[in-house]
Amino acid sequence: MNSADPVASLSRVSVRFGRHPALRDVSLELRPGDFVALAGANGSGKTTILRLLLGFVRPAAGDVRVFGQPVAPGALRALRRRIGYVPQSPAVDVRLPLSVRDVVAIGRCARTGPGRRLGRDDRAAIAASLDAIGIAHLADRPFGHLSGGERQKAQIARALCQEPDLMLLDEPTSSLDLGARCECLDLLARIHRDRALTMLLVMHDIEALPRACTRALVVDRGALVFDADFRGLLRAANLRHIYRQNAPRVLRELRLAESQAEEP
Amino acid sequence: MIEWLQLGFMRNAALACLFGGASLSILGVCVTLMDIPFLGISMSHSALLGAIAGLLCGFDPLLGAIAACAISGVLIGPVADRAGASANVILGIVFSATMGLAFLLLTRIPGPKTEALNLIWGSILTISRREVWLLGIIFALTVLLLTVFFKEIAAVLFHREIAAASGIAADLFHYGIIFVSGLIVSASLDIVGGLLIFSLLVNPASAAYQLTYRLPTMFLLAALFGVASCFAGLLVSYLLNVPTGAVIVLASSTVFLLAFLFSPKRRQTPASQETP
Repeated sequence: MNSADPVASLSRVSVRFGRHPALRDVSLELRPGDFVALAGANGSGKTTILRLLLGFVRPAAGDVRVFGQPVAPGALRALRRRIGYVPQSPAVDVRLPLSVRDVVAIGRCARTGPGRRLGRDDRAAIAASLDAIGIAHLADRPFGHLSGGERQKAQIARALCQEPDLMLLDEPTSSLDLGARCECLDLLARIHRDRALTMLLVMHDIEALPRACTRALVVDRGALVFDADFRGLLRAANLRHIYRQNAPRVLRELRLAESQAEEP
Repeated sequence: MIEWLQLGFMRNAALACLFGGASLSILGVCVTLMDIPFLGISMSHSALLGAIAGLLCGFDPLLGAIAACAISGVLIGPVADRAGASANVILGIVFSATMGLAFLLLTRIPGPKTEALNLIWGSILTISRREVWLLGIIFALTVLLLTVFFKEIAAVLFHREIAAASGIAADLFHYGIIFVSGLIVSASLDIVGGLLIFSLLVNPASAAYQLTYRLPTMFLLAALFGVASCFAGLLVSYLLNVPTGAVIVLASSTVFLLAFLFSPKRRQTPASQETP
């Protein structure tokens, strides 16, 4: 795989859950260094695209490739080692007796290999990830004692600790308040800027998307309906795929928010 | 006080308490954190079915019990995944099916059914040297697997999909925990019996959970509580001439009650409970 090759691609991919089509003939590419926002209404197929790339969902038709290789059962573990995955926050059981450091250390498991203890390099990588995300002071706290925003930061630190070549984030701010959401998205923008990491960020609300995104994709009822520059998404015709009849109102609110943000 | 240890059957019982109590409690940490406490009940009834099948067909009931649990252990995880159902639902189906079949076969055994019924109620005082060896081997295997694969087991307990997405063979470890639990439950049935084995899986682990926020400490405390409950049960039953299995269960329940009452967690309100 050379540097110009896509990091991940879907080529004419369709997915069915029983008789229900979840994705229809979707083609897309993630190029090295892309920070792509994947938006769409609930149930539009955003998470299915992300799960296809992780190999948790198999396509009914089409070709899914990550790092130039087909996402096939025999290659999954090797591919997943290079992918940092951050799920939606409520998906994690917070009762477990694990510290923040233990959770971040999960990111080193595959690199270290089964049956081997974490070495000095692994511990250094864990400390560096905690530091990069700004939660080093929380390292020994029980994971369940963190706030929602802190937990998501710990999950991002875990994914970063893996030293991934691709980050997949599934609505990482869905359960956060506005302040924590902005902080989390700023953090992602900083990670992308500092590490030139290829990132795919699934969000259902485009008003929350970081302006650092290089591209935006929109899926609507299983079809990819928009794939262009992020600014291009901010037009009523394109927003209609996400917000239906409420698109003009959302656009007005977005412009109002932007103009207020620009005021001194 | 320790003259009871000079009796051969009590020495066997004490070793069974040490190995079985520790193995069940260590496994109990995984079972409670995976939220599948019914695993113990389901496996013990699979063991009962295997033992009865052994008695009927003329082979060793212990081997029958182990084989039946191994088969259940191999099937439960993948069937739950493919059916898209919770593991608890599949455990309920396995439990009821094996219990129905076991009682159907039980009526076919001619004469006294003591050997089969011992598996339901337990008979730690009649445990043989061979069974103690088996428990010892299973205990050593459990500790070895836990030590070698601790970080993978912790990752799977945290979140199976995140573990898989990080490149860990999460399904293998998930199914492996269920399979090993089958082996441990079937080999430990003589301690408290199939109906009460649930308590040794759940109580020591739940007591340990009350006292720590660290997973390695939880495994260690659970093993300690499991062994202590078994020894307490054995000693009290010897002194008061009451059924051992029942006292072991009551001892482990008391340990949980004490841990709950003195839990430092009750004096704190974690952020997770403050915000939805």
